Amino acid sequence: MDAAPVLRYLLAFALAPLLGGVITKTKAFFAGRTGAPLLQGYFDLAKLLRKGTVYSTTTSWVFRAGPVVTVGAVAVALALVPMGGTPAPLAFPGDFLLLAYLFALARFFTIAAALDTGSAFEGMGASREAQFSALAEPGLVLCFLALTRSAGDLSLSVSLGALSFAAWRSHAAVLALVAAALFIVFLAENARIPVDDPTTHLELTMIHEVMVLDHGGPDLALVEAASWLKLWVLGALVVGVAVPVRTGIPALDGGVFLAAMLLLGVAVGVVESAMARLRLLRVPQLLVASGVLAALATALISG
Amino acid sequence: MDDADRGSVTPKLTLPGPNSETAVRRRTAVSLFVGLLAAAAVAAAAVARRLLLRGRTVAAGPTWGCGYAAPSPRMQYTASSFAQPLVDLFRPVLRTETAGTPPSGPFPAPASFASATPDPADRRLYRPVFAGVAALFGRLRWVQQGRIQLYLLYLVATLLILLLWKVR
Amino acid sequence: MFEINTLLVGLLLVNFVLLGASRLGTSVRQVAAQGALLSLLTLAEHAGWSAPWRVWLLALGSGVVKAVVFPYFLRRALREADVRREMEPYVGFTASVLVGVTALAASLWLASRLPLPGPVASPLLVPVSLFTLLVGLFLLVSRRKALTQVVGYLVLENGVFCFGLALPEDAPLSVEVGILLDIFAAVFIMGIMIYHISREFDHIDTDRMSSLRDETT
Repeated sequence: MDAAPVLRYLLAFALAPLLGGVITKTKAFFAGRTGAPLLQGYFDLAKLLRKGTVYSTTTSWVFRAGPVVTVGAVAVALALVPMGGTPAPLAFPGDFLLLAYLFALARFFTIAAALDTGSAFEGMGASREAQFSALAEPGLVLCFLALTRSAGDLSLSVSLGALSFAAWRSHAAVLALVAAALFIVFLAENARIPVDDPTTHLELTMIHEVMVLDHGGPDLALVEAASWLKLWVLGALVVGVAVPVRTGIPALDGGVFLAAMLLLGVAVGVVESAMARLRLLRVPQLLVASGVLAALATALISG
Repeated sequence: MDDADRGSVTPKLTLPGPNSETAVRRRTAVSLFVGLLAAAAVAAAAVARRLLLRGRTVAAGPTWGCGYAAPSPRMQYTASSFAQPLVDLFRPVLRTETAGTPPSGPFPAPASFASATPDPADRRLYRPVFAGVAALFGRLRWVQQGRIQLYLLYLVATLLILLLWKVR
Repeated sequence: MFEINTLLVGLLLVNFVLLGASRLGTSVRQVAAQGALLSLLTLAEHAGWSAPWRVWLLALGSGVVKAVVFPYFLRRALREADVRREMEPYVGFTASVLVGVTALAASLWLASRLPLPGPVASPLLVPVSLFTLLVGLFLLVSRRKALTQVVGYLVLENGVFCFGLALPEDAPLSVEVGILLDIFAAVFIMGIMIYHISREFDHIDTDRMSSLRDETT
């Protein structure tokens, strides 16, 4: 096995919390504050890993299983994503479906753990999360479909590896649509504005935050780690479509990929600062719009 | 998009024909491998947590109770409330029926709410069709008398008719 | 003793007695006689005293089962159920005999039309077997008591057995043994069931067992 894909995987593992730091710093800059340090994600993880934990008396094994399954599934999903032109450590035809299903597995256990606490609050978050993911999933899968069809191969590594700036020149419309749809799915799955506010703690506006309210200590560390990794997975997909640099030198491609990821973090920070969260009734429309964009892209490919 | 556009490194796994035996075996091996990998990742996380919590306080107690001092199972999110956002999205098709008195006035009296979503396929397709078919076949109920001799007579008559037809 | 035509005529007469019998004891005895006649017929088919030992085995076996074992089961069930006569069958006794005559004519005609694989030992064999079959079916359809139904079933199977004797040499022995096993199991079960039915309901009148659902609903 080549070393390059595994190296990139480990690097992604290590750098994921940094992306969160970039987003927070961007938002602070827009708000005129200094904001938390760039490495705050790491400090948070370290702090949480040192703590003990309290388990609610209403919970059962499902609650304890939630964080571990989530982080395990997302870690394996990360192994399926190609970064910067290098294929992923795990690549086989149909791996994009596995990616979607690993996310679904993680989501299922998060929702189950939230419902397990018996709190109506977390149930509300779980119900909203279920609705939004159900609506976002077609967008994701259709984007994958468009990518695999354009490359003619069912493996994500091959499909994304086949993209380049020349491809953008010839198939600009399709790739633009796919990039836009993937960006909306990225925002939705990672609970970013305009779909959800990751910093609020007001009862009526929380969705993702509320589902993990009962976790503490190492459990919360695992949940946070899973959310950083998910950010990286979907971010890598967006960057892979939007900035497919193929200079032929792997190190240079990797460097450009990294820079693009951080730029993506800045972009997310800008979006979060410029917009407010959509009304809850409007979010399904946004997600359906992403699905429509992806469907258009698929139709354009076959047509 | 031809080969010239591909990235600098080719992917590792290329399979022969999609349904040849080697391909199927390859697929099975890959599936098993990924499955085991996922299980191993989850197990690793669980073990890590167990190790981290060793020697730390693991307490049990009521946690964020949403401000209620004494929560009861009835305050829990029910299945219909869990599904409500999605069901709402498909309201024209599903036609959820709700009944109840909302709280009103400055000092609300007891209020109630009940909702039911009957299966639209069952209500509007299967039941009418089955009722029609049952009515149609209800007209043949006179055939069933309950007497075994009659049923045997049906059998014998059919067999004899078939025999006579064959032999004529 | 092994004259085929005599045995066949005997079979014919037994069938007529069955059609006209109202006493259940008579029916059982006649069915036993039919079984004995059929075992003699088996031997007659295969050259009488000089038949091979397999044939002797089959004949004696089927004779014992049909003439001794089955009537024993049936008489036991009869004793337990404490009935003597078939009362008011669906087709009256005289009418049954007339139907029997029609059935005989029909089977004679049918036998002449049936294409058979090879030469038969006697021109009466196929008609009589068909007739026995029809009598058995008629008894099943026209009688009320559960026991007469068993008798009708036995007569039906006797007709099938007899028909099997008309076939050429190759397979009949295994077929006959198979049929015998089949009948044995069926009669065994039916005997037990009549015993239990009469214990449960105090009667074996199929008329009173014809409602399709529980009377309490």
